[in-house]
Amino acid sequence: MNETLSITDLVLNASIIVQLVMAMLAIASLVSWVMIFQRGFALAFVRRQATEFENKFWSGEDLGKLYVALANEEAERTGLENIFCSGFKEFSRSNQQENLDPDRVMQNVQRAMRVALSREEERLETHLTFLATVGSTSPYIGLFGTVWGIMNSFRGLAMVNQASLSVVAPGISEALAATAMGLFAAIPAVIAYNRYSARVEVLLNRFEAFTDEFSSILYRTSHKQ
Amino acid sequence: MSQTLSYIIAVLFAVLVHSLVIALLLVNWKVDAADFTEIAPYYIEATVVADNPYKTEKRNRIEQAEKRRNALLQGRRRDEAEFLRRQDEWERQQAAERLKEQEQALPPPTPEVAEPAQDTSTDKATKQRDGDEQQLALLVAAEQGLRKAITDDEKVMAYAGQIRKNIVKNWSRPPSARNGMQSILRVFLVPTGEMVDVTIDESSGNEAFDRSAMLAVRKTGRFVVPSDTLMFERNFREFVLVFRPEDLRL
Repeated sequence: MNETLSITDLVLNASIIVQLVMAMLAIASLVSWVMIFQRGFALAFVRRQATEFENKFWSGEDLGKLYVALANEEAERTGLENIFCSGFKEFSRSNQQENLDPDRVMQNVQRAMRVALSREEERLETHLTFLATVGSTSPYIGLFGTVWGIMNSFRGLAMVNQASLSVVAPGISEALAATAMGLFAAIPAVIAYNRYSARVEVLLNRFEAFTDEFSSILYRTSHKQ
Repeated sequence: MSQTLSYIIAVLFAVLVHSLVIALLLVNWKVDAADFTEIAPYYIEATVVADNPYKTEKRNRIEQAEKRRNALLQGRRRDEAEFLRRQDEWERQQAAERLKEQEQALPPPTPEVAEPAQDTSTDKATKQRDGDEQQLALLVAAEQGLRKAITDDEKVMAYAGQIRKNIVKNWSRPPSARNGMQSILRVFLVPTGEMVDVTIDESSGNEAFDRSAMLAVRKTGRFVVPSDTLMFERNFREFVLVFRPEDLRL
């Protein structure tokens, strides 16, 4: 028997199902880390943009000019900018119709902004479900690999006359590697999921507050006329 | 920052994290393997068949005793031959004297004078012979004793080994046991091999360790002892056990 069971031996000597489980978990871990980094960048970016936009919005700049500046770069717009643009667009469109009731105008504007908000929410929450899935299922997948490996090693033990620890130990060690990998994939995913969903929640609250503030401004302008 | 760029960077970071973890694992694994110390066996049984100085010495001693005995036997035979020769001579002399006496009318009482002399000589001879025989018997006994001692030693060692094995089997050392500790126990047995008492001769200083050693002896309870009473009395009526955890890592 190999005296020093290296980690590569653990993976390479495992049975095919355990190896499959390990490969699955490795891929899940890799993808979930990609998601973690990508979400981290994306959420930080959205927050930064929102702060910038709010500063610009409350600086007393003409909202029409702001809209024109943003309307040109539709691909670059994020979060608050999208909500603002959709609301402003709807407002100016509705205002162009002469005989429209200001309350109806406001209803349209609010609807448009709600749609934009839900779209933003969806965009913020992309990949978070994947992280949640990895976090909750990969321990089970790893456990399955472990159970399978231990089952095999005990089955092998039944055929040996001299049952010693050194006969079962490598098999169990291999099997436990699967659980370790499952946990390795799951723990960061769960942490990231919790952290990012909290961050998304904060951002959405901010968006909603902005929506209310913006609609009240629009209400004032529409009823002044 | 465009979407694809963020994805590419994320992929790079994820790969970096994973390779870092794998590298860390591999490095740690190697260190662990190097640290692993093999558990030393409790004792090593080795017998050198060809050149055992102890045994050759014993054999030499036996051979010397044999030689001495042979020399002694030869000496005795020589003495005996001498004695017979002298006796023959004396008888011949006696016969010649008797003839002379018969020739002479009045036999002088020489035989009476000669008689005690002859007696003393035979006495001396028999005495010497007895002494020789005694010496011989002693030598033979010593030799036999030597031979027996070898086998007795071996037997005692075998029994001691068995006892040690049994005790080690029952010995569970406490976690506080360290290399270099040593507690010496005195065990008292009855001829059936049952333990009647065990006392601590020299404590290791660690109470748990002493207790574990006592417990090992108590748990064993009955020991394998020779049925030969002499051997038992000499070696196993009361013996000393040294408990020393040599195979621990700490």
